[in-house]
Amino acid sequence: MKKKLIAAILVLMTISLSGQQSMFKALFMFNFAKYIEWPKQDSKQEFVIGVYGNDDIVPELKKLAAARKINNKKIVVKTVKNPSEVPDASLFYVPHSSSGNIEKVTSFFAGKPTLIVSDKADLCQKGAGINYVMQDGKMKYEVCKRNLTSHQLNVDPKLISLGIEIK
Amino acid sequence: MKIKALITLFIMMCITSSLLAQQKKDVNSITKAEVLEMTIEELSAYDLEEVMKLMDITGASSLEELYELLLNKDVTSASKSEESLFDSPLSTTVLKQEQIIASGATSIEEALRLVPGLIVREKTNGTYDVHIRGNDNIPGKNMLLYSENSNTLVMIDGRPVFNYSHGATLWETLPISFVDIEQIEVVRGPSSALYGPNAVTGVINILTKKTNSSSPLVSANLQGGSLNTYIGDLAFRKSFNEKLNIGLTGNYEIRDREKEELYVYNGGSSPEDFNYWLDGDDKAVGSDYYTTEQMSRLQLLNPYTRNEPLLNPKDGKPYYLWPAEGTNEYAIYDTYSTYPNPELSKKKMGVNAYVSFNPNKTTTIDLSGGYQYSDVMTSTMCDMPSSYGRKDSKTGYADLNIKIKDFSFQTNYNGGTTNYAIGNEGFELDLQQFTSQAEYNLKLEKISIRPGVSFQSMSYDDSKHLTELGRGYLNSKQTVNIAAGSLRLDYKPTEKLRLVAALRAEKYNNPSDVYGSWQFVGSYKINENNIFRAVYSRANQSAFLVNTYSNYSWNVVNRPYPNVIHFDGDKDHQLKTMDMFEIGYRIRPSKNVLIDIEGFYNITENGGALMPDYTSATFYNVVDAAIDIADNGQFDTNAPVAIPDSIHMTYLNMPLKSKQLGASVNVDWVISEKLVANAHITVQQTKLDNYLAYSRDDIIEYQVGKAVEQTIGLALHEMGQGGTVNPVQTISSSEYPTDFNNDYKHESTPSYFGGLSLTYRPIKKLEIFPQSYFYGAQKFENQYGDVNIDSKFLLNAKVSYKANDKLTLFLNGRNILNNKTVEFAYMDNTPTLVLVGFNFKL
Repeated sequence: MKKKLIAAILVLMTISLSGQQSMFKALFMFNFAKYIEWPKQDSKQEFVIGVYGNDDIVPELKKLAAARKINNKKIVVKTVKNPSEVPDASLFYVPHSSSGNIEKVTSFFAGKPTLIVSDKADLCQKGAGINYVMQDGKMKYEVCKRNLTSHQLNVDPKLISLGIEIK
Repeated sequence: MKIKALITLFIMMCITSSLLAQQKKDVNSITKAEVLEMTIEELSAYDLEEVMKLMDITGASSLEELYELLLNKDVTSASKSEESLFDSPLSTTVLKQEQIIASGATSIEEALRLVPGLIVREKTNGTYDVHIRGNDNIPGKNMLLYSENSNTLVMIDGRPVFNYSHGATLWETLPISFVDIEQIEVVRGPSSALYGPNAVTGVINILTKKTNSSSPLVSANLQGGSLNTYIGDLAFRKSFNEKLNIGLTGNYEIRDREKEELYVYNGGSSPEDFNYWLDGDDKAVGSDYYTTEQMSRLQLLNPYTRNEPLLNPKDGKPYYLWPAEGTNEYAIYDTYSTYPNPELSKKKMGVNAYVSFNPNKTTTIDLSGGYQYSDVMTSTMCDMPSSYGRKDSKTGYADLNIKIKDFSFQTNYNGGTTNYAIGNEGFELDLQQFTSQAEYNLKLEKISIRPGVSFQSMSYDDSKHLTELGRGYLNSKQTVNIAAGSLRLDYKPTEKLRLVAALRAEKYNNPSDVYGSWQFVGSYKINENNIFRAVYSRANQSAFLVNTYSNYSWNVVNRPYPNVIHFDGDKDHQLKTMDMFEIGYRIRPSKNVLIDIEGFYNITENGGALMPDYTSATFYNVVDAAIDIADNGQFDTNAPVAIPDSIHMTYLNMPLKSKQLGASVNVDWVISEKLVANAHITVQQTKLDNYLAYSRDDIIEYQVGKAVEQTIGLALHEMGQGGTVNPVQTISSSEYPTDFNNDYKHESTPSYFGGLSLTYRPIKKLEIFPQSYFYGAQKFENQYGDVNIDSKFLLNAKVSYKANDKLTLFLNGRNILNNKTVEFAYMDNTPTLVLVGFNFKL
């Protein structure tokens, strides 16, 4: 019984730590928006963040959406099974588990002012603007200016200097 | 009113800002506990640079890395396209380079002990027997050659590294080492439909590292310690730009055995049945370990007097087991040329070069080439009085892999010289293997269609290494050609359901036949954390040169009989085939646990072996024996004296059928960032139908017996008719015993096997990796008897200290409980190794 209890506690500990990880990814994303300039879209009242499939990041993003705004716009978080469900997304996140669909995402948003953020090695090479990577035990992000520019997004050099630039 | 409102707003702003100032603590002095207490709303007040620092303080990212490394791997070998391991439709395991290095495994084969369903037995220090799930040593009661795994296709980047001469993988001839490896992908179950022949019990595909801008310029691993074991590798990698990357690697390994003596078998186990005479010591001896010097003095014992050597009536000399070189025209081996360094177990080196050119986003061109040299002492591949044999190999390869959008083309060459039994004429062969394949993956909305064609040509030639033609088993250049067409359909009618059908047809030059292999898979992903799958598949072996083209007459000089054994291949033999039914279930009960369960049932048929199909003997007392048996039906005074003269061995298909039922469970559990656990176990039972419990010698004896029976019958008939009977006759028979056993329990495969490992990182710089590998008891059936292998629990441990980002120092203990029992019949005891070393990258 005691052993079971310890195991249960360990599992809970891990879950809480993994929650931390998703929280930081959400915080990163919230901060990325500060360093990226979207083309003027005054008609848009909302900053739509699309997330491909269910992921632990969604509740974290929703907490942020309740407390903060991006570019003075209300943050709306939508979980989708297909990018076509959020054609006006300003930011679209492809979690690790949905990485196989990256080409579907990049082709759908091609040319549109959408920041595509992904979470798997080498996805900048497949069209993501920003990509989370693990390096030496730390979560870092890659930035591909070329992929951002092709989506009409301007990037602050500070964002590039804090991350890993992919040319 | 307006002023009042403004004042109120000002006061509120002051209060809010002071509150915020209180909440936003200095990131340079904040503690981990304080960060963990903060909500996302509070954390959102920090800018990106500060958030990165806060994340480092919590250490959350290292846990994510563990998930990435252990629980969220990708695999390409199960569907030929990259996919999440969780979604893989087949029983699949991926071993990352980081896991292999952390485990302390000293070779690729040893690292495979981390994979569920793999049986890995050490033969000598650093040489191994590797099987997927089992079906090993079938047919039993035969040469050690038939214990080699000819049922698993090993590949490097999709290039087969397979010995088509005898079947099986010569692991020591793999030119690569840990520094080359990105990951090892293991697919359990018949996979010929995807990869061609010999993927009968599965596929082991070793994927090499791709150089990119984040690759270290130099990386190296080196360790050394007990039994003169030194293992090292080194890589230089350079990314010139995103289009051009190169890599250059080299590796070297040398090890000693735990003893110098070699086992000589078929000599009897007690003084009453000893078969050998140790000249010089002048005593009868039996099966035992001997030095090469003692082996050079071993002679056949006179079975009648039992206190002297048996003498050859032709020249009055004793029969040496290993005649001294030049003793006579057929002397083909002596102990010193057969075992030049009996203390050495393994020496290998390899160099590899990789060039990757990606002219645009949709095109990759990978070219690799290399060379290897190896020399090992392990189980013999020929039929000698010792269980040990030396093999050496010098081969080179080139591999070109082009991908343009959804089209892929791969062509490769492997060539060189391999001596499968040093010191034995006829076992040194030049080899040339070509493989080319092209596939196109047409991706539509819900279905991918992948048609493909391939051509393989494997040539072996022993003629250049023979003192005269006739002394090799091929005596010429012989080739196995395989042309194949394949089609794979991957249909996802809904988000959850996936149906896969893969079909392949192969046309061989010999046997002149078309073989079909297939794979039908259905998987249902209940949700993100549960997936169920079912598989039905068939695979076959290829033709091997020995089975197809053998043409060898062995003039036996060091035994009293027979005089000649002739070996013939069969160009029309049937290829071994396996059918498998499998169900699998993967579950992720929480984000940090992955459980993989698979149950399988397989049936293997159409195996075979080089077996006596015809024995000719001289019957020396036909009349006396016939008269003796005529009175009461028994031999009372004149037992028949019939000595085999010539034996004709042919590759014979057997009616033997193997049926295996089993299950594997694998659990990966990231308990915390400091502690990770893995456990896997496989249980299985194998039963044989149409099993004939006869060794080759038993068959010869049976055929001589049948020939004697027939001859006596004819003699009695002739004598009854008043005729005369020749008292000395040449007799022969090709009859086979028919006392087949059904549901015979095959015990060469352990009924359970598996492993346990823990990764413990008490502090960031220190990692402790205890790992165990265990298996149940086995009974190895050999032509010279059964060997019981005890169950075993092996414990290894590696302690690594990360001095800095570039250098890790480690202490590596293998078999630290010093459990020395043999893992493979007639081979060395398992040594204990203590090694020190480092991993370096710049």
